[in-house]
Amino acid sequence: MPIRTVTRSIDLTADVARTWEALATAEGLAAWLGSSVEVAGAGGLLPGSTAVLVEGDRRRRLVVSERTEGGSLAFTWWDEDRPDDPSTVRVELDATDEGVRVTVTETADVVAPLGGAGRASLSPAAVDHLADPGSAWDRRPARLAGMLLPVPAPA
Amino acid sequence: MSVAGDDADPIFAALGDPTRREVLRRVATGGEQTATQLAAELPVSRQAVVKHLQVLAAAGLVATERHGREQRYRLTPGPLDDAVAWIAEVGAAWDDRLARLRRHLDPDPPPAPDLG
Repeated sequence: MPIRTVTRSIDLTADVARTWEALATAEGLAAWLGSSVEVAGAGGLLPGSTAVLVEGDRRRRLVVSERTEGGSLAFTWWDEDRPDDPSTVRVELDATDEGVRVTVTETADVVAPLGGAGRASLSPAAVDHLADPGSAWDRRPARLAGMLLPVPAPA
Repeated sequence: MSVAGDDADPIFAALGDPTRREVLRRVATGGEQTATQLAAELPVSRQAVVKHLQVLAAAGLVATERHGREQRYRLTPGPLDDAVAWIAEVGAAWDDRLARLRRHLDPDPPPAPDLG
């Protein structure tokens, strides 16, 4: 397990549908995760979509990486002024006898320095691209693939 | 950076308590402080804060320094600082967020246990 991982769970008496709405829609997240959640484009929080989240005095960018309807949502996020320090959040929802259990896991991403050893590294252009919620999603996969810098695996 | 074997056990045991994580987060982000200053911002007594600080000190996460009659606590410098501070800060942030989620979805939950 990576060292920088945090997991938290809570049990709620709310039903699954209402809880999922709170976890996986911009309006729902704005009620508890941040004071506002602005998703770029139409379609909501779907894989590949980007959003800006305001939480207190922090502005965070997020990119949705995975969504299983009614079950889980995963996204990568970072402070707007710290694009070099992203982490991945996975929110899972499980029905219980009394209602629902929400489990959140946040793991710091490994972003290797340019030219260093590691899994992969994002160029500054890729970070800018991910951080720009106005980018057209239909161009994103190809552009992003072109900006991923291959980094040699450790010996 | 690495954490392995017996060295890590007291650290993760110390971080297993939500109030202790909050105490550590405040020491990490607020700099050197006394137990009285920490207790003023937490919903627990000074005595409870002192006990949490003693557990954190035993795990090597905080150190004490005496200034006259005051005992001040600070984050221990070392290779674990970054990871521990990250875990404490991110964990405390999720504690706050999930408490807001509970208030949003469960406005009348059963009484929470005393954290003191």
